[in-house]
Amino acid sequence: MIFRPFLSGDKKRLSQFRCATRHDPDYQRLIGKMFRNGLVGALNDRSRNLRAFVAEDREGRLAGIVALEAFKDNWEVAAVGVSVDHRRQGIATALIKFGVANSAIRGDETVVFSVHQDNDPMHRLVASFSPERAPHPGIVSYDIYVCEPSAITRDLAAAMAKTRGSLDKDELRLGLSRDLS
Amino acid sequence: MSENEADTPASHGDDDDDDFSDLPDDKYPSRLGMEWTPAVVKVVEQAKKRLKERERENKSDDDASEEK
Repeated sequence: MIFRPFLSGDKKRLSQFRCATRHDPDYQRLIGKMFRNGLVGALNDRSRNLRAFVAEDREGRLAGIVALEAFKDNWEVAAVGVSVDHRRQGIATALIKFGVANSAIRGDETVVFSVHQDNDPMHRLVASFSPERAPHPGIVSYDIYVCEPSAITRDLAAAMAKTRGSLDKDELRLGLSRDLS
Repeated sequence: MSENEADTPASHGDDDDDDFSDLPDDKYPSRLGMEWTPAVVKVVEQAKKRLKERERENKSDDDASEEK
């Protein structure tokens, strides 16, 4: 498993990305739409400060995607997805840690998640980051979590090792230099 | 992936042959992330304050333990 930034060449791969979800097929299609249209659109929108990272398996398939977006002094983990063929391998955990570690988050900034009340795996994952939790003020089915970045990036190497992951340094440099240009 | 491919700017719309028009937007999420309404910002700021206070308390406890 290789962890690296989302690059333009990944866009075509999104059409083959089947995101794992416990919900109905319509929901899965909408998640696909969110990644295909929402992610690329947001990355192209210069008014938004968004970073996206992927995990790629040995066959070159997208195993997971995470997108983080800055808002004021916070970074929201705006989307996390793991493909149906790569579930239960710790990829979401490793990707979130990797994304937070590589998004140039300042020490005074926090990382925010909004999690649907039915998404038990995500609640358990985010709870491991020792967050503060609050009900979403507008959408009753969601909770908001606020975390310290250091609580998320802790044990990054162990999380990546669990997925047999490695870092592609050249592509990381390329992706980050583009973001910083 | 080649460097040329990676350098090509992503664009909207193309390669997307799936039709989502039958899916109601109000039932499923179609955007990345949440709407940062003033109410959401307030909730996040309050949670952030609690997080920082907890961190300070933990640090104080750690310092006190070291002094013993």
